[in-house]
Amino acid sequence: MKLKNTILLLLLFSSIIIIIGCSKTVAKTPLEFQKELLAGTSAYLNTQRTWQLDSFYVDGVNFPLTALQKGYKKTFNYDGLYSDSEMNTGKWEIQTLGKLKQTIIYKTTNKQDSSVFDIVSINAARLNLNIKLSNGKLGSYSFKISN
Amino acid sequence: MLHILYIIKKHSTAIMIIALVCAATKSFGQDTLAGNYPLLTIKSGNHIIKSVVTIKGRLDIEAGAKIELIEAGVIVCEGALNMKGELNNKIEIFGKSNMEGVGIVIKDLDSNMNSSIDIRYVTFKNLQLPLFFDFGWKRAAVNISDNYFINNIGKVSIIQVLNPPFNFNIDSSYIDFKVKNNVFTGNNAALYFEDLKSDHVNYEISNNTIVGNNVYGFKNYNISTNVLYGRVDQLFSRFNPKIERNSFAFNYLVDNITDTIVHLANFGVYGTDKTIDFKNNYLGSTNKALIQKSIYDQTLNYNAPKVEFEPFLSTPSENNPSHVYEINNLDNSYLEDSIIIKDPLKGLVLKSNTSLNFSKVKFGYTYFKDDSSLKIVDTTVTYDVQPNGNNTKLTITKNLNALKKIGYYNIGDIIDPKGGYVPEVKAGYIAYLNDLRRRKLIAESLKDKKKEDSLKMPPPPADSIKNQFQKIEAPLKSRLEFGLYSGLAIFNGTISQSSLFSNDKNLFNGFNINYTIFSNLSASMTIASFKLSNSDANSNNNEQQARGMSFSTSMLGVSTSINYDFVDNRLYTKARKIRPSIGVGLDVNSFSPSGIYNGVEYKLQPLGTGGQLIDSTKKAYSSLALGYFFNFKIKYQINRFNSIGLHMSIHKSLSDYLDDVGPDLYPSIDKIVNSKVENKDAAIYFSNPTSRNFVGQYRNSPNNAKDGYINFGIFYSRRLFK
Repeated sequence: MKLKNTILLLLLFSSIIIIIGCSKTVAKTPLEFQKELLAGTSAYLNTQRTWQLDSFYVDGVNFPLTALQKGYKKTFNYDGLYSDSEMNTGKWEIQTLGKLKQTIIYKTTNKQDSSVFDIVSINAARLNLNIKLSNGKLGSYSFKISN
Repeated sequence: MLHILYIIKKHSTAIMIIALVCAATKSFGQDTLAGNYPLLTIKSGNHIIKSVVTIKGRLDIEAGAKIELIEAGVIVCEGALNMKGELNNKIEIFGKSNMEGVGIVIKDLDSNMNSSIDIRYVTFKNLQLPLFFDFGWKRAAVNISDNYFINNIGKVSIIQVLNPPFNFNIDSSYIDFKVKNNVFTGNNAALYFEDLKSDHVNYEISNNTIVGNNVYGFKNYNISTNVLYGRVDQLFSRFNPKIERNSFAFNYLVDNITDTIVHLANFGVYGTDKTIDFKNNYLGSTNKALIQKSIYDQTLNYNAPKVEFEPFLSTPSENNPSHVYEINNLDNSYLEDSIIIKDPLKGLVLKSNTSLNFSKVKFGYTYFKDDSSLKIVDTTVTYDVQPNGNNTKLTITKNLNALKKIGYYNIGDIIDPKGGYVPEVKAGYIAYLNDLRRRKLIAESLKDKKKEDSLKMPPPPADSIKNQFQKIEAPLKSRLEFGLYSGLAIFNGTISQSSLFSNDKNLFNGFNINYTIFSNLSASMTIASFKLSNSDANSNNNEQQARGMSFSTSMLGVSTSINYDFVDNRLYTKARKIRPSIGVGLDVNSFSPSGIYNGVEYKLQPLGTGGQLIDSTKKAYSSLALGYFFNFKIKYQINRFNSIGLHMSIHKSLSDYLDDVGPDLYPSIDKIVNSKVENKDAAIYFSNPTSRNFVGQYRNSPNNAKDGYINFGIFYSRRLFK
């Protein structure tokens, strides 16, 4: 009887250890990760990310930027709000991996517009976006992190 | 003259004090005797003898002398011996308890042909060999009368008389050797006379009370295992011993090994003569067959003389020293000496050779407390005394021993009409001794069992630090114990939070070998495999949350430790099944922190997340880390070989990179981009996962904690070899 109790106790301890010790952290999906890279994780001091325009290409050709243009910044809040250095506001969302949809309310005209960027690449330091310009050419924006 | 009187007057107080001190010293002081004396007179008072005291000439010991013999203490008389105590002022020769001295040795020929040995009114008590007449001794006469030989512990003899150095039949002189009116009781040995029948010694052994003695020997009853024994040879014809009117009762042979009573043991004889006269003695019974059982002679050994003991006395002589010679029940039926007393008796009738005084009697009843242990209960019996001449009825008025365990009655401090000592009376003692032996065997077998259960070594005395760690003689393999460990590992370092159990908990598995070095000291080696992980996201510290780092690493470690075991690890007893130990040790760990970037797991060390690879003066940290730890274990010993338990160890690493986050400044993104790191995106991300403003900050801020971890859980261990 005593041995039986000891074995049962041992099994109970082992089970608890295995259950606790083997519980896995669920990895983030690429979509979630992309959102976090773009706008932060919502943790303290990590609720938004600001990206500063670094270069611009049209159909692969460098479009030299003025100093003012190089000061342009996009800010993505983790909660989906968007703003930029030209005082425009709006919303952002990534419903599909690599597709950044922006809804912008222009400060000057109060007009609302939306556009979908292709996220060519994103990491903690750089964000490259492509979009088809109104003239049918491919515009490539390159941003660097500016927190 | 006036001047002298003046001085005496002035110092009278001091003189009186000195005189009083001298008087007190004289009255209460004790004198230590040692060495050789030509003549010696030992006066009344206390004396101590711790070595051999030899008296070449006459030794006088005065009445009232009390001589304590300690260990080697012995009085050697080479001349006359005159010990004359008085009825109410006896001489006492006694041994110190647990350091008992020898006694008196009579040796050599005395130059004074008229010297004699005269011993009267002397008490010999607690000695090894009270009187020894050594081979070749000779005196004109010996008189040993009115003495008490009580509770002497020696197992050789009470009185041992070897032959004097006479030439055969040439010397016509002889020694009158009288042993009369003595009490021999409570002794462990016999009276031995080398030649009871002799041409040179004329023995008279009469009117002695020889009761309640235990002669030690072995289980086989023989000549020498009797309270009185000697040789009777045809070689001598001059003096037949006169042994009469003695009272023998309650004398037994006791087995040396078991301490139990084997046989009645009154008289033994050997030699070539046909018979020896042993008539007119009281021999403990009126039953001839029973008497015969107490005598070793031709009946048992064809070569021995026949003891002629008829007619025997049916009661002892009144002239013998007072004693109880028979114990009866209240209805006057005979109380067998082998009676098993479980139910307390209602009373006893004691038959004695004279009337006795029971006014100061101590009537005790001793019985066992339970069925098998050695625990006894000593009680004092309440009783009524009803004297009737030489018979005394003791009616017990209150009975004890409700559990009915074996016991015996002991009646002591009886005195004779003259105030003299009367031997103690015991009832049921034989059965008590037998049961005591049974209980001792049980106790010994339990003790042996405990020894078997231990690692063949006795526990060390715990009274000295020096003896804390006892050497173990067991072979190497029996000192080994193998264990399987399992549990949880929790990281505690840069990426962790102060609340220990809020951190990630990962599975820990290990294999342990323990080696017993000393009784309370062991060494062990553990090979362990486990995982450590954590994330700043779990932290309740905002700064850490903002930092946003996380890691996971597989650990493979080898640890050696030295442990202090609170319970002697040689022992296995049911009483000490729970065995705690504490220890310290060193770790060598292999680690490789990793992190997930965009769904892919990356090893962090090759990324140089701390900027280790962007500067040629730096290099990546080592993935081997030394460390130290403290551990604590509680082991529950299931049986001699198997045990289970709980373990916990607190480890500190000498490397700060178990979590990949060390004391490095956040590296420049541009420098990482320009470095030779293969996975630059991952390197950039892991170097600063939240892309926070890091100017002038260290990656391990804010807590700057040193890395470590805690393991705890359960283990199973087993000794594989006896």
